[in-house]
Amino acid sequence: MTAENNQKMIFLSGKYVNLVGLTEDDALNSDWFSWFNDPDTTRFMQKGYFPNTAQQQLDFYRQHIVGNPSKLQLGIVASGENTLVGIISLNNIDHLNQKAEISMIIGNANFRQMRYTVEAMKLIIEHGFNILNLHKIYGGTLSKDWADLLCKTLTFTPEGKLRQDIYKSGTFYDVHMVAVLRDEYKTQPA
Amino acid sequence: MSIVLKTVAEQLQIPIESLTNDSSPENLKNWDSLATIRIAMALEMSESISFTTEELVKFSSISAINEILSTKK
Repeated sequence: MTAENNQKMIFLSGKYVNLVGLTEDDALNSDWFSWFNDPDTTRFMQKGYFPNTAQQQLDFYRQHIVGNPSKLQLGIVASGENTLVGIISLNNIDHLNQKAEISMIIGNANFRQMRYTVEAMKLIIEHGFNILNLHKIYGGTLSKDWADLLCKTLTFTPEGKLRQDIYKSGTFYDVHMVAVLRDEYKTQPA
Repeated sequence: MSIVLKTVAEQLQIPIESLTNDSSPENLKNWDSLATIRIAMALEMSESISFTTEELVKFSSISAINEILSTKK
């Protein structure tokens, strides 16, 4: 992990994005907390039910991220820049069964493009398999397009759907479950 | 009519007349990574081809997609 002056601490480095360690300053002084108040950003997430504040983001950071061996949460920063544009996580890291759940939010809409999305996912997936020794990485999404993206670009496989599992904006949505095993994961240049 | 223009217009739900070869995720608000997947899958279906991840990452404009598509034929 490297850091200079006020530069973010780069933990995983790619061609288009870097994944950086998060700090209290990110919770208080970046746009991070506000992304969860934006209906467009949270339209496929179980977020946006109650307002989120910088103080709540700081509390979350202290209670759920710092020193938590079950969660790896990193900031997404475009290469050559120093501003958070999103967050990516391996959640519910289960060291016994060697699996974890992946999630991501790109709060800055200018960076919701394929190269940033795929590379951020690729970096944390490869860290999960190669460094954390995970056997399986899985995820669930309300969006069929998101499930298709994971399957098409990162060799995930559909594992079925949880029917009408999540209530959002007046509708019960199916949750599309996808997963990739370490042996199935195929590295492709991004 | 270009199959790429038609597909992008359909998937972004915008008039085809509003698109040019320079139209891209940079200048079209609705063209995010999820739209790119829909565009790619629609082209794969209609053209009976398959795109790699590397090619999908390079879906950076209408002209870029045309260029990638031309290598498939």
